[in-house]
Amino acid sequence: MTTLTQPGVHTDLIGKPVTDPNRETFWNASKGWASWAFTLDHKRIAVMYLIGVLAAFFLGGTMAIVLRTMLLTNSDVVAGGLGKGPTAVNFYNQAFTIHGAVMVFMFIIPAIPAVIGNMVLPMQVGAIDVAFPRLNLMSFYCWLVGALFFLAVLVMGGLDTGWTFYTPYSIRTSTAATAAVLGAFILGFSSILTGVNFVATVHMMRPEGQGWFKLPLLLWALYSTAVIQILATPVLAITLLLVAAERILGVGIFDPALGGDPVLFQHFFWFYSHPAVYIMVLPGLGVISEIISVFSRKHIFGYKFIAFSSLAIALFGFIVWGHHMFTSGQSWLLNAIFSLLTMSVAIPSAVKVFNWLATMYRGRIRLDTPMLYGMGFIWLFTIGGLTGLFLAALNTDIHFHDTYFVVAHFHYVMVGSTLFAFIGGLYYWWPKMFGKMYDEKWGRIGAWVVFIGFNLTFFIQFLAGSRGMPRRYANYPDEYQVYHHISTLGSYVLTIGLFIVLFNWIHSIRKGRPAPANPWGANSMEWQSLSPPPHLNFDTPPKVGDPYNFDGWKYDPDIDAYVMRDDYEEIMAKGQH
Amino acid sequence: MTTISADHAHGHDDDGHGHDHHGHHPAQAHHFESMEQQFESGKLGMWVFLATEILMFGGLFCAYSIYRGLNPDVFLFAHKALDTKMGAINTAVLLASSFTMAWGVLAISRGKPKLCLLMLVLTFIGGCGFMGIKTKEYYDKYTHAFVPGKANAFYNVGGAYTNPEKLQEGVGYIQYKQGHGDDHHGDDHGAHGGDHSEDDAEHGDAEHENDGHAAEAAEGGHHGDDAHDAGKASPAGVEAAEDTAHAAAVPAAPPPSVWPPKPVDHANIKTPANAAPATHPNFTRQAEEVADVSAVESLYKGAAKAQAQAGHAHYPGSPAELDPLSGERTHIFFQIYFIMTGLHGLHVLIGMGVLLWVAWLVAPHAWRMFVLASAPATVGLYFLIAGYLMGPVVWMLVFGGLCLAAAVAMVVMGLGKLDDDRPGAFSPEYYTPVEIGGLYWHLVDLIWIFLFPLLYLIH
Ligand SMILES: [Cu+2]
Repeated sequence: MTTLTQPGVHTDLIGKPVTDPNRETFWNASKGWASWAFTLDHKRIAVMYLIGVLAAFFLGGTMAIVLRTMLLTNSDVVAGGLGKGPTAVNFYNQAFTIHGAVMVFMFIIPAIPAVIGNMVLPMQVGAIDVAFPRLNLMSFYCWLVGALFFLAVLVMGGLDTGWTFYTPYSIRTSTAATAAVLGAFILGFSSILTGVNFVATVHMMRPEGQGWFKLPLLLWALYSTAVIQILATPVLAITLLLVAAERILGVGIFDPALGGDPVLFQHFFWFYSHPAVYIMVLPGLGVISEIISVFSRKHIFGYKFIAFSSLAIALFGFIVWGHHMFTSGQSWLLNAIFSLLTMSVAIPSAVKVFNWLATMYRGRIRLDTPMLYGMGFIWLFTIGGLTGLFLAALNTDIHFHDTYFVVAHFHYVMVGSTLFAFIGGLYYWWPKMFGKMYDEKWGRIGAWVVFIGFNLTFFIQFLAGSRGMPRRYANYPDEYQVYHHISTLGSYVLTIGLFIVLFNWIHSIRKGRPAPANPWGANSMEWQSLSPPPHLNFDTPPKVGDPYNFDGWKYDPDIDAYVMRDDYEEIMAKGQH
Repeated sequence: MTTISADHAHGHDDDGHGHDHHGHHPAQAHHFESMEQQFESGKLGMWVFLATEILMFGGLFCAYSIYRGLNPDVFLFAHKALDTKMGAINTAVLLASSFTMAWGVLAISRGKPKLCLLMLVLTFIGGCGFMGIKTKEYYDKYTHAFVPGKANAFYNVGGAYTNPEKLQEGVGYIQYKQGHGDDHHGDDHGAHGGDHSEDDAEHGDAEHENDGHAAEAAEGGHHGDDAHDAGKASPAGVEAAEDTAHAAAVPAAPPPSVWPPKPVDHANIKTPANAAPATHPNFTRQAEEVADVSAVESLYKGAAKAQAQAGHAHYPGSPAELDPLSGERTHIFFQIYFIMTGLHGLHVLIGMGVLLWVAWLVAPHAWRMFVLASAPATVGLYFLIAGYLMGPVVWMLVFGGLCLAAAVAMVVMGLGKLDDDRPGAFSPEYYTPVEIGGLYWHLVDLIWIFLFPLLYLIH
């Protein structure tokens, strides 16, 4: 950290202070609530999404803390004001359902594509906006309406099916499952529309000179995600529609009492929901590729391998759904095939991890906050991925199925990885989005507390699960108490860490130092605009270059940021070395 | 985009204000570099969206395949309730409308907006025709208790039929249709081909054997002879007979010797070999008289056995001919039918809305009110005709009348604007909405092309 000579002003690409106090940014380009509610600006839509998904995260997180607190005790004795009588157990069922459904459908799935993707994707192809700005706004309103359905569920008697809506229970439950599946249906449309937009934008809006292999890897990841969103979500949509039809009309397609087949529901559901795991984690993989390279000051290692591994994960993700039904009476042949296919997903995942490590190797690593999250991500993703192999293997899965081992596994992959990439990515693009720097010290403290809290909460669940603690139970034998105590303690630490992050962000918006154009010395095009960008993203058309060639920028200690070299274009023309 | 003009501050209006200094086409949105990029983006987006639609229907096709694969006989049996002829007409209607749609796109791309408008209107009329025929079909289904959900004739909870009267109605209707060769795709039945009298005779024979064994089975059951208080004309049968009058698929009303059914002298009936001459359809009547569902089922089983012994390759005659699990699933055929065709119908309606919107844009300003008027006119006519045929139902007639009145008012307003000489919105440089609206309409057509054989033409 250096003493800054001009701490109070924004600086531009070459480090010159931006003095015009009335400079137009996307924040002040137009005023009034209508200019936000009807905006077609991808950056404003990203901001609205950010507020929305953070609110959803808060709701889902509250439920998590509630259920972890209830699990502190295994007796009927009142603990922390929450008992374990029948009412309390019903409440527990609702808490884990709302936690899961809200986190999956309203937070993790939209988080990175809709917030970071919306903010960054058009700028990374040097465009003014996504291909279909109106569709983009419609996607946000679909999200909002879907979210309202879930809020309605909360007041209409809750939901106790688990986020998976397994039939026939979801047909019979007296809780508000119809509203919930319709809500998820609408949220699915929001996801589809975002996917359509991103595919068209990446295909059509790239400037001359930016071929597919000059795209930042985030775009490969978002593109692969969009493919999954487009191909998998409609199947979920029709499945949820059928569940609604079961509940309203009693059509019986998934109801064994009416001649229907509940396992068919599971096939349909997981045909979407396994790929959905990659909807959640692929954008995170893209964010991490950016962060690791930029903060190692080194060209990403194995660009094409990372790019194609994203596509491979997306495609493999479609042919492994049967691993959720190893114990549902699937034929042994199908089980064996799905087991084998599932393990094959480990290959592209491992390709990524090795490439990140190779990128860091002999890099000049800066341990700034985004990088801490990036490295935390690699740790969590590796653990989550490797434990996935335990569950992909048929013999071990019989033992681990529906235990806390599974809970720990998917939290490591979905929450650990995605949440870390999301927070890390927000820190990374924060200066661009809000035009303010955050407090680096508290950023790092927060990262450590979140990391420790997360591992404390979930690592112990591997042990509990491998010793037989089943998931979704409100009660348990005494032997498991110590695991639950440690896990609950960890969840409190995690909560503290997340609040540190939140306060750091709020502090940054209120008191943060004005951000320079390129604080990290990254070379993707969004950093060639001022922070925050103007309404039309760029005052001058950005220059296209290899996004991982950082030689065109040099560090300027006076402003604690990178400035563009005079011979930038020659360096880019020379290409990578 | 080297400067930021103040006009941009109010969002991304793509009507081109503030961009004129670039010399762009007025319809070019500011975030596109060229009209071509905009057109290709729109097309790509639509194709991707169509992929999601196909996958959504794909889920239903998948459910269909699984249930049909598990219970082929259920589908053979139950699909007879559908009206192949109407389905075929609807296929032709949609194909024709796809043709006019494609012609319309071609017309506007060659700069002929009036021809395009004509084609769009024809396409819209095709959509109306499809929905009208579909309504008629649904209504026929409804009169025979083939409905979605719990009121379905074959609705079955835990192995027990829940709607006995409707079950009789439904089985009777299907058997009737089966017997009367309303089967335009029966080539696999050898002797059942073209010649209807032969067809009837053979069917009659088989049905008669059913009858014999059904009777036997019933006698064995606790209902005994009560089941054969013969001679009453069955309401279901009459209904079915009436049906022939309007179901054009059947060439003529059945000959009197076959319809209404004669009483069966069941004393003579012991085995298929010495079964009495055919009366047809017979099952309905017996089923109708047996109130108890279990007795109905035992009748089915008798019929099934008879057919098995007679060794006829034959459509299953009743749910009970199917294996016990299949019987529970007969209603699922109808559930799938209604969900698939219902969702498709919804898509047709949305497509018609898109057509109207595109037609409004294509039309010169002087004609736009007339295009708009076609919406209330269509809805109004629909409710008037349906309201008249169904009852008459007063509220439908009133609502239809109001819609027509609105349409007339719009036409009158339109007459006052005939001197507006502004042209329509599209030109060979810009007609993206026509193109992507057309793509959507083709998809709707394509889905039906799959639905029709899968649901109506089951062998
Ligand atoms: Cu999975």
